[in-house]
Amino acid sequence: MLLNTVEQIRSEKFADVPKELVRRILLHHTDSAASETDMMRSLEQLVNEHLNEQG
Amino acid sequence: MLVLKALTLENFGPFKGRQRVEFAQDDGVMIIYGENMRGKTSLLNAVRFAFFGRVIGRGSKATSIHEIGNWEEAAVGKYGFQVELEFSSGGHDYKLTRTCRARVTTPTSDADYQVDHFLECDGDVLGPEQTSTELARILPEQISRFFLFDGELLQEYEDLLSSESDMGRRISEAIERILGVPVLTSSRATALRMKERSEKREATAAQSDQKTREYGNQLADLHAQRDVLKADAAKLKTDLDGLRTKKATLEEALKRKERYASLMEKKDGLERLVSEQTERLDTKRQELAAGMASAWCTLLAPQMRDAARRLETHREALEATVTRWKVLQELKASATHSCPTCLQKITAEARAALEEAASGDDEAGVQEAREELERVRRRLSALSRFLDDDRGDTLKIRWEAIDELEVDIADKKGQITEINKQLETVDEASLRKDKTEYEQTVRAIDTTERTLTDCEEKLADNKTGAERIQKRLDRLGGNDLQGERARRSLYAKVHELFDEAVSAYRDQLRRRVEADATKHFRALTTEPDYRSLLINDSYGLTIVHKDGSLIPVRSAGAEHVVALCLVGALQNNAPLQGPIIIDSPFGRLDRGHTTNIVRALPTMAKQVMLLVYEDELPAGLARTELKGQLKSEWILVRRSARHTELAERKS
Repeated sequence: MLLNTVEQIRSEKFADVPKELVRRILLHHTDSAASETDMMRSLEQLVNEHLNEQG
Repeated sequence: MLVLKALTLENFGPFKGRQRVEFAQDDGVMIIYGENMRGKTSLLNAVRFAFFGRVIGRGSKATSIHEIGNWEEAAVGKYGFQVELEFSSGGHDYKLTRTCRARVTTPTSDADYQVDHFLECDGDVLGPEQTSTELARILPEQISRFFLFDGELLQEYEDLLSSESDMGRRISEAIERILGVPVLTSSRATALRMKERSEKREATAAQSDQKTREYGNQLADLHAQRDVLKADAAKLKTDLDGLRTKKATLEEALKRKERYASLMEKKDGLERLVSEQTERLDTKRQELAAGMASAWCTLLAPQMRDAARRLETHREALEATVTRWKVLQELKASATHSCPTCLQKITAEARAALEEAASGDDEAGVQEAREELERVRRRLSALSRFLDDDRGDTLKIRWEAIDELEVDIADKKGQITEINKQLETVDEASLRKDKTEYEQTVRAIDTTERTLTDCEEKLADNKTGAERIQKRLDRLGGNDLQGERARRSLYAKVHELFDEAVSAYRDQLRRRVEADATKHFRALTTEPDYRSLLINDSYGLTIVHKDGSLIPVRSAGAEHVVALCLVGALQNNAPLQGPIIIDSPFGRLDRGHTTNIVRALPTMAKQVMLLVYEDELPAGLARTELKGQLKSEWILVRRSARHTELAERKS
């Protein structure tokens, strides 16, 4: 239910936010032993890739 | 999903020696019967001790571990205890062992014990860090109230209906935790941190360009100020949480001791009055002592009055003699022939008679009369001082006042003695300490809240200022800032997305919890006119009558029914599901509600353990209502007051 709620809002109102970015943030807080710093690094990499793709 | 398999106890409470109870694995209900003081609560506490390393007594207060070990074993010098809990979760089998060993030969307090625990997962022993992580994931203590509870804990749910209750706030937080809301709030916080990092990088980039340096500097300052304010606000919130938790705990403690607290208040009032009255009594006694110095006068009053009367007659006679002589002398010496008083003419015969009369009073005799008159006057004056008519009455009034005060003080002291008897079993010092601590905590909460509001206002100002400068920078910004600006914009959207998701998810949860709780309620209530339950923002549930009106007040029994509905609804909607272990839940319920609840238990959780006494839930009723869903029955068998054995009851 939680994932569905977030995805519905993303697709309806924030379609330009990458789905994978949202998924990774949620995953980190659901079931991940990774540190906050590692997660931030990973997210920034993902965002850079996304922005590069966007040009 | 968490499923309990077996519990092995060693010298835990009344469970002497090593004893084991196996939980039914199939979906259904297991019942453990035990009369009062046989160890039902100890069994619930054994599970709690295994998971969290602590045991709670009445009023959710932690119990000393020194008091948990079996007393018969302690009497022969064997201290300490152990609990082993076998369970499965997420497809793995676990065995959690928690041991409490005495560090000294004869322990006297908790400090004399060492508590250790280890967790085996599929036969492998996990390290300490992994053990903590796993246990926090499998069953966080903050949500344990939805799995392990008794009637007293169910009663606390009524606090959810009060927006000002700290206990309600704590339960509400626990509800959101079990429902998974923190996943979203933490995600939102992550998005915000990412956005702020991006803003800082953009400010730094702006500082390196001549055109945008000024705005970059201003933004960097505001970001630094924001960091400090946020750290302050976070600390204040942590402090506030701690204070609110403390207040709720103290509130509960005081509520339990309410009767004693009011007795103590009465005692304090009586002691104040006794002190005031004792002071007044001292004053009255001093006044009486002063009055008593001349109290003999009261005894001699009749004789003294006679003497005074005699002296008065004598004085009048003496005064007449002196006055007569004086008048005659004046008349004799007068050259006129008229009376100086009435101015009438004095005839020659009258004058001759006067002269004759005056010649009879010799001057020496009159002088003697004058002196005697002075002496008589002095004696009368002296007597009059002792002939105060009120003296006796005044003394009497003082005596009576003293008597009254003494009776009153004795009566109040008697009441104080009575109160002291009632307070004999109460730790008065601790009660007073709780009360003082509660008042101090309320004051500290008030101060912290005001400081936090102030901090949040400054943060809002900081945000407004930063947004204003950011807009100016956006208008000026060159190509170097484009990258950071795009990142910032994206993170801002992610933050906004999670912000909306938190509200939307909470709304959905509330609607689902309300619907599920209503479903349970319809099955549990025996009142056909009750239609549904209405949820508030804190997940508090109010009964709705079929005519649409709300039922504002409910009994303790109804409170239990509503709380069970909430627990059932949370189990249905929580990402984390597990067993429910309930200690004596039917004590306040009539047979109709008990029957309905027993029948509905299998719908509330897959694994339900009931700890009951037979009068509360007769075995026949349980078997009839649960039928095939009753998986096993155990009984707590008394061996002695301090020794209970667990035995499976075969039907």
